Amino acid sequence: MGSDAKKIELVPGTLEMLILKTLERNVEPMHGYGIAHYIKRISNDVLRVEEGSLYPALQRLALKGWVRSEWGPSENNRRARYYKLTPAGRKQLKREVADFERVLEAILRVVQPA
Amino acid sequence: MTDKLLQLWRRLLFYLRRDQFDRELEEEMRFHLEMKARENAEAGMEAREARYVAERQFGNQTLLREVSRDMWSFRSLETLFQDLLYGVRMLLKNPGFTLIAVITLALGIGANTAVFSVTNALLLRPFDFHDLDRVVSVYSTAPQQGNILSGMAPADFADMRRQQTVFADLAAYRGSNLNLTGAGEPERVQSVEVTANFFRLLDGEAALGRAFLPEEEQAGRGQVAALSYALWRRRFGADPKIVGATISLDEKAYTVIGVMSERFDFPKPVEIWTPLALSNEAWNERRLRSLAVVARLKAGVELGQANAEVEALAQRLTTQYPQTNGGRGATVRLLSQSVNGEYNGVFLSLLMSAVGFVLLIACVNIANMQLARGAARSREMAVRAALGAGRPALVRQLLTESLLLGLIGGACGLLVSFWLLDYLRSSMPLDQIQYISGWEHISVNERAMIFTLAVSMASGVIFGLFPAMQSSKPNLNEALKEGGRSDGAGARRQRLRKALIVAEVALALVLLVGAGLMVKGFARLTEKQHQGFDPRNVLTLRTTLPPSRYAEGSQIAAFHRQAQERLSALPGVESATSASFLPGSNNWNSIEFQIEGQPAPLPGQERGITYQKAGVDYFRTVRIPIIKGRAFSASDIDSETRVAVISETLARRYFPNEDSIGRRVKVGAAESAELWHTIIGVAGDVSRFMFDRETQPMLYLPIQQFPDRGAYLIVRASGATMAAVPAVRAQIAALDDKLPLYEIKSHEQVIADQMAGLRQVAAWMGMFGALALALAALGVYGVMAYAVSQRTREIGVRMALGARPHDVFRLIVGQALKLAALGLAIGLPVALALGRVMAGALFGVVALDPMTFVGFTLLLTSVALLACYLPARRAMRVDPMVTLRFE
Repeated sequence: MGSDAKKIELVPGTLEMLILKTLERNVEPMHGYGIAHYIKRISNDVLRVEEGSLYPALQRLALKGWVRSEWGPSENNRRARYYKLTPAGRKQLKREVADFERVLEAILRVVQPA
Repeated sequence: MTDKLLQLWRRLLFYLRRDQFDRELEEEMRFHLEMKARENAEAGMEAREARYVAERQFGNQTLLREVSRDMWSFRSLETLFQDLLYGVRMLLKNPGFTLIAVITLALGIGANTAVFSVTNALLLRPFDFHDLDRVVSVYSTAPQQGNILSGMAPADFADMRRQQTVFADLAAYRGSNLNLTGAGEPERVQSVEVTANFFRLLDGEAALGRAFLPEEEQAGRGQVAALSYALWRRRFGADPKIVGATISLDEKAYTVIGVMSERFDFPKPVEIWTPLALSNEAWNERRLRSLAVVARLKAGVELGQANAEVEALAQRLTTQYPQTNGGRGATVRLLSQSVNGEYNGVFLSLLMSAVGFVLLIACVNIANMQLARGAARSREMAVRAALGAGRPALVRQLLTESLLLGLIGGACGLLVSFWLLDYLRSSMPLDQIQYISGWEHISVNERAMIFTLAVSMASGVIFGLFPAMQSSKPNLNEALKEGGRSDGAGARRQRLRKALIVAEVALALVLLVGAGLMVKGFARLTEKQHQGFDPRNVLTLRTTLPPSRYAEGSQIAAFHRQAQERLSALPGVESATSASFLPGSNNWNSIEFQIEGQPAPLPGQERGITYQKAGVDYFRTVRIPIIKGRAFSASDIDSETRVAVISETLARRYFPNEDSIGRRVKVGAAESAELWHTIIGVAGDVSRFMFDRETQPMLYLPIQQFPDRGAYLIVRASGATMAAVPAVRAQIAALDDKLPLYEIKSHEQVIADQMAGLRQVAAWMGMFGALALALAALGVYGVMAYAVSQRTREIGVRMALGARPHDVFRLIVGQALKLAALGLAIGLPVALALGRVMAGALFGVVALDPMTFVGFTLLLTSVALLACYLPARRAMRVDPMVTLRFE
């Protein structure tokens, strides 16, 4: 799999949130590669999304009805599957972000010096 | 909810377009790889290297595809479906095994469903009332006189109703019989007087008209009646204009105010409800405990709490009214559990345990067959394991098969239960059914269906799990070898099978002993019910004289005298008499009684006694022997002295060392104004109630001196019993043509009907015992036959080495007997304990019945012997050459 020795593991369960957030920020639909690339870029190379988890995650989101996909021409003139956030996905994202922030806040409160 | 549905819909779409999905995923990944390679190339890699690195970074594409696809598919459903399909194929491949297993299960599960349906109807849900588990009966008790529950006296009920805080409402009722006359044959109807709140408390709704108003409870205003739906249909042809009409009950006019709904028939076998309109004087009564009381618990009040309060209130009455309430208490029972009597509960739990045992034995049998089959299927399992099926997958497959078998067995079991319930319905006399609450609810309803489903699945697991665990651990090396022997491989399997035989024999013994004790107990009770008199050729009829035309005791006495004279004069009639109840019929009247010259007992310790009002010729007609003194004669009736005959037990108990003849007794309280009766004779004992643990003392009073409106006419015929009916009817009609005669039966029939419920239980127990015996015999035979066939080669070797057929026979039989003996050793103590429990709960059952225990132990031993005799004989004939060549 990934060959980088210093790989940062994603907090379990956050990948779906990251994908949803990515799709929310980019108004245009994105393909899988674009999503992975975007997450990597925005996180300054800290968060790397493995293909082995990205595509199953996308499938899961599609199954739950949080993203919709359609095929379209890509930048290199190939056919690519583009993913778009659905209204249900937008709501789900809000929930997940809120949950995440609560957990993060709690963790910080524990690890930060008093 | 809609989310789930949408997901399901998307899954289904996926399922229909699986190929497209795969293609698209493939393309998507290819695109991803290309983009990645381009990125690498832009970073300065050579084209081929860029591609290679991209692929390496991407990882296992097949796995990724699998994971994505699993996400969408109904994976667990699909495997279940596959397992089921495979299961069906395997069951069809072994039709013999499947057939035997399904029949065994159908019998076992069907018996369970049937008994559960009866229990559910009679014990758990005898009524449709809402919150049935909050409806209770309140009883008066007399702790010093044993565990007898009686009704409440009106004054006690009124006090309790005023002072209690645990019930939302209390209602009282009491049964009576009324003669319904006018429009057609006069007839006897079962009527109940109820307080006005009775219907509201028990969800009784009027189909026509209304229920009672509170003011109709007042004395003098109670001349209204509500009809049962059945009576309205039967007697009044469902006349919609019946409300407001006048009917004649005991020759008094009543206005019909309503017809109750079809569902409401409490308390059975009610046909007419009238208001309980007691006079003020009657409301002050504390001695006659004539009211049955039902109540609904307040929300949040527990049964125990209600019991405690009711006891405390009774305690208060004890100190307030020591004369009448001394030594008395009160208690609360769930209506559903008390309505059909305590014995129903005992019988039904006995039957429930019996069918549970039958099903367990059936499961053990099937488990045994599965184990044998497991050995035959060890190669199949090994192949599947070698091809990568994990143990959970194998267990799942085998369990699916067992569950499937269980469900098929359960479905066929439903048919068996229909048949059993039909048999039950058709074999109970109508006279008895009408008293059983919930009888018409007996059916395989949703609850019974759910029960059947649960039992079927549980059976599947019980008989499937062990064999599945065993078979799913194949020794690949051994099983896959060409000509691999299965005999050595299954030492553990052998042990398990032996354990199952032991269990089976033990279970069968317990069930057989239980069934045997029950059947014997029934026989003993039947005998007891016939003891002391002779019911053959005796015709009995019931009649009740209406108070309007028989207001005076002398009128009643005259009726009985004339009836006796007319009936005994009939040709074909040996003698005739009348009595307040029939011996052996489980009906009786009890009353307090006093002996002249002996101090009156303390309150709460009154001498309760069974008394029978009997006419002239009573003892001769029913053939109760007079042991001492004489019976009633016609001259007693006219004489001034009042007379009595006592039973042997009464004489022994109350006049232990003296002659009772000539002593005087009276009924009622010590201070009552009742007249003293001189004892003129001692008669033989007869049974009062079949479940009485000891013979009860009985007092006979002449019906003419102690007139009773309700009575039986008893006729001893010299020829065929029922042939006398028309002549008897004509004679009574000549005496009074408005008098209904009912319950016209032979005395033998009366007793048989009384025993019908018990006979039913005994018959079912016997049936289940026989089934258990057959199943156990089959099981032992199956295992022994299989064991012998597995050991054919070993036997061949033994015989080649010089063993004689005789030795082989001994080896096989010895082994079987050892297992049977172990099973019996385990089963006997359990059976003994069961016997003790049964004898404690049911009179008539003797715990330590040597015949039953020895008999069934021997029977099971011989069954085991017989079951291994055939295989052993086959083993004796083994030709060593053939088996050794078989290698």
